Amino acid sequence: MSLSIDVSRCQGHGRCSLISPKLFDVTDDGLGQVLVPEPEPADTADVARAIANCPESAISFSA
Amino acid sequence: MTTINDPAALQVEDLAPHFDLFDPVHSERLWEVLAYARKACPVLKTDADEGYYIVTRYDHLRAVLEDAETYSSEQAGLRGVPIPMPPLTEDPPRHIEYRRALNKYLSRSFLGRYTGDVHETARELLDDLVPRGGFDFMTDYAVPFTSRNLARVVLDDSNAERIQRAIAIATRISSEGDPQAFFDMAALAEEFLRDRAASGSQRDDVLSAIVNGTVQGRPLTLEEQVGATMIMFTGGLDTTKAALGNIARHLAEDPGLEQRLRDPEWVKGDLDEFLRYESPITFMARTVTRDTELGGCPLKPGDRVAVHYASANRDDSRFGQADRLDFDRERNPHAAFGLGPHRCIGMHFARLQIEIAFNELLSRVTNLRIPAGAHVETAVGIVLSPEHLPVTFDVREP
Repeated sequence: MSLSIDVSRCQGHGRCSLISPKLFDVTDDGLGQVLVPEPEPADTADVARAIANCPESAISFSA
Repeated sequence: MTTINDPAALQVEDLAPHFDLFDPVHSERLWEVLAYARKACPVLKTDADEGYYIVTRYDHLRAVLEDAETYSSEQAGLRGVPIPMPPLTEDPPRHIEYRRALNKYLSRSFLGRYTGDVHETARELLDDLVPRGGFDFMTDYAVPFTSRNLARVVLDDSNAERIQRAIAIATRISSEGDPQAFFDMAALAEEFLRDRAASGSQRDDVLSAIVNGTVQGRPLTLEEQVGATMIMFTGGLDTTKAALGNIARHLAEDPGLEQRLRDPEWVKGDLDEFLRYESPITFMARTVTRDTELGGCPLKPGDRVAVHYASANRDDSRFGQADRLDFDRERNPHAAFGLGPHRCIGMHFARLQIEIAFNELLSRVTNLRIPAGAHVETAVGIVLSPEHLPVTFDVREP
């Protein structure tokens, strides 16, 4: 399973990074960045919260 | 435009088609009208002003804000804009060029260099306010706090006298909504820009980015530079002030909230629930550029659309029990900072200021409350905020 951000949808709200600075960052260009493409099982809850709270529905976690 | 004699007495379905987003009496029924519209007529046509459509549901709001070709930002203010203010009033293809030039200077990492200054601003204000035993949270704290911080970050000038003038004008804009103040600010912005250009300075900040910026291969005109400076400066005034005021009011009215705001993690989740529940900017505007349809409602070129962020953030189909302030909700992808390419450029700066404003305040006081008999006046129109918020408190032991 791989975590990714659709850059055509991302607007740099940064909610993902606030939820988990370990998994996500926001670059100076104002775009979200996945720091850990293959998160650990312990990160599952944060992955779900990041996806649920992205205003642009830009985050996906898929095979 | 139909004049209504007694808006308070009408059935909501009879008020809605004449609803005036700027009318104080209509606004007393704002949430009721929006709730009605979301269910019965989500793209609500009103004959207020020259007539416009209020977009009340989250999914429709997103459709509008993601489609800049169909919905132009040229007149991003519902009652127009005094001057063009790029990037706010820009559409593709120019819009993205402005954002690319400016995003960096309002990124969290760039703003880190101003953290000390923002703390200092709060401390200076509180040194004066706390010994008084009570103050107006809006005019005495939120307004000067945001004005000084904005002057520091956007104008970042060593000329102290000129910075003071900027702060004074910003205060007039923010507390009085004085239209003349806006033009005084534009004149001052021109002075700042000319001075920065003449100095040949290669400083790396917002003002230099505007002075040196290019769009479609050519430098910005003076008018574009002034407009960009204006929106970067004024864009953060009423907005951040409103967020501070709305949160402070809850803090003052609900003693249980103080512990929540003392947890440093509050800005990572709770803050967003405050912003969803009471969105500081309730609406902005777009102009339809071609024949289209939204939520079953046909729209034609020239139609004016009010994108209502505050309503979208109360949309039950997006946020369960949306009319409840609920810090435990799982999903909160709110639109308080907008959606799509015009997402608030100052968002990180707003969060930083909010975090520090309450961090400093709560380090000095506890048990914030509204004095018995005091009156909280609320603003009407674009900004959702108290105008005045008298507070008292207990001083914390050092």
